[in-house]
Amino acid sequence: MSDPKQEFWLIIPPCADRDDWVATIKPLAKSAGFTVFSSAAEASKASPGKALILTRDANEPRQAGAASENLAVILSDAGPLLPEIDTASEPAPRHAAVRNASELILRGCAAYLERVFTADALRRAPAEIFPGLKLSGPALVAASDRNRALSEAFSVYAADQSFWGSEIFDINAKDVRHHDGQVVFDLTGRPRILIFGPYIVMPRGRWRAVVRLGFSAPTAKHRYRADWGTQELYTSYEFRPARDGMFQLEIEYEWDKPSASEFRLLLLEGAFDGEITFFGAEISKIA
Amino acid sequence: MSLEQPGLRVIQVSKTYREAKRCVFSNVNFELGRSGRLALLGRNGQGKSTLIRMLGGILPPTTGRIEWNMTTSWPIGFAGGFQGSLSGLDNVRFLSRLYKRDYHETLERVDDFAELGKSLSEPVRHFSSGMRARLAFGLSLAIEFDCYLIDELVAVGDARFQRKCQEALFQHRAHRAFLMASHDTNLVAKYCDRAMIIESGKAKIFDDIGEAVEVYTWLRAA
Repeated sequence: MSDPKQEFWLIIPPCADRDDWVATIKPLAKSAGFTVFSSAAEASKASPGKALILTRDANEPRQAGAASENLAVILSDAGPLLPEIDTASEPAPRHAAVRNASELILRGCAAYLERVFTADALRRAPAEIFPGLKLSGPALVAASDRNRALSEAFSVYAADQSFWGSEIFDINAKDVRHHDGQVVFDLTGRPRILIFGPYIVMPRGRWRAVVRLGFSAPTAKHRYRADWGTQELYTSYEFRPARDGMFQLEIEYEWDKPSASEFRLLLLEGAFDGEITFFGAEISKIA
Repeated sequence: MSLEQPGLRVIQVSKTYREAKRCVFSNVNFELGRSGRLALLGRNGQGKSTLIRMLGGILPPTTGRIEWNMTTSWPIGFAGGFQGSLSGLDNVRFLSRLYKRDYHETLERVDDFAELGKSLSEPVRHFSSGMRARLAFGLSLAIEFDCYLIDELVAVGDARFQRKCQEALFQHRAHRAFLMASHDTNLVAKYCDRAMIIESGKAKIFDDIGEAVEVYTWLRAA
């Protein structure tokens, strides 16, 4: 008599090294007696035995009624962006990739937080994610600054707070220089949105952004507006620094449902000269 | 294949007046093509006229170099180059010789454009500033230059004469280069393709004329 059919789900949200994860997992799973499938539809046609279904979306096992002990969520630390999207000059595909990956990570963390395995933890100590299947992460690959910063930003789902580095935001200026986690840019130009992004999907709740900005003397005399929230609804705050130096801006917004976040800094007047330094933002849950 | 040399090259130019504590501007760098149209924008006292005069050879730069590879007019709007004791006719004769042009032909063109009539026989020191500007403009058009330096076109005559100047410069000489200092943002936006804004001793080139006009408008309002 053959074994009854048993389904196990491995959720790997989009990440730069997803192919490496799959390549690492497949032989381990096979030698542990699993048949690996890359979709639920494929698995449904399979003969009895232990099926390991790989998916990006936690909704699939939930809809299939999978028990939490029969699934695991893998969180890579390589960041969500494939190299061609990360380095493209057109930002829209990158924004879409961040929105999509963060939404799927949020879904996995929200539904099965106790079944989340991080790449870092797996590299330090292999874990038996399912009976007989012991997993260690693929070798650490060098991630881009943006991917590394996005990976750090995604820790907001597990810890209710994280640091969003300047690398994950877009800067609308002619002369932009990134170094040591901060970005310095020339303000010269017409009134416009200076900083925007990162479109990470936020869980429901009230979230505070603490943003640090440095203003040189010529830039301190201008009026600015900071927006924090979703792309359609947000909290706004207008200010004029009035003196040069480093400033901290605190702004809160309440998400009533998960949706993409956006922080914007707008220049409200034309500017001839001066530089702004953006140090990134601390994001934390208030309620 | 060699690329065409720019008509004008300004390299690291700065200007400090004697006795002055601060420089008017420093590190000015730009090039102008042989049909380039550059606006000079800046609030009063920022150094637009100084730069135009330096380009016209009337003032020397304190540091840096100005290299011309095309002929250039004197600054239109500036009439300081006339010999006041000579009549308008004598000044036309003098400049015709200087630029190796036929006197009668030049006079006919100046007379036709400047509309000064019999006043041309009077010494230039008796001319009003408007008449001087008309004579200077008429002469610069009669002699024909590759590049025109324009320091505030509104200084030249009434509205009808200004229209005539604009037609002569911007339509009949559409493929010539020019460099125009002006507060008139409509004129600048209509005829220039790039701009330099001078503010607090700094000069910046804007390749987007619309952006330059917008930034300058904010500077003026501040």
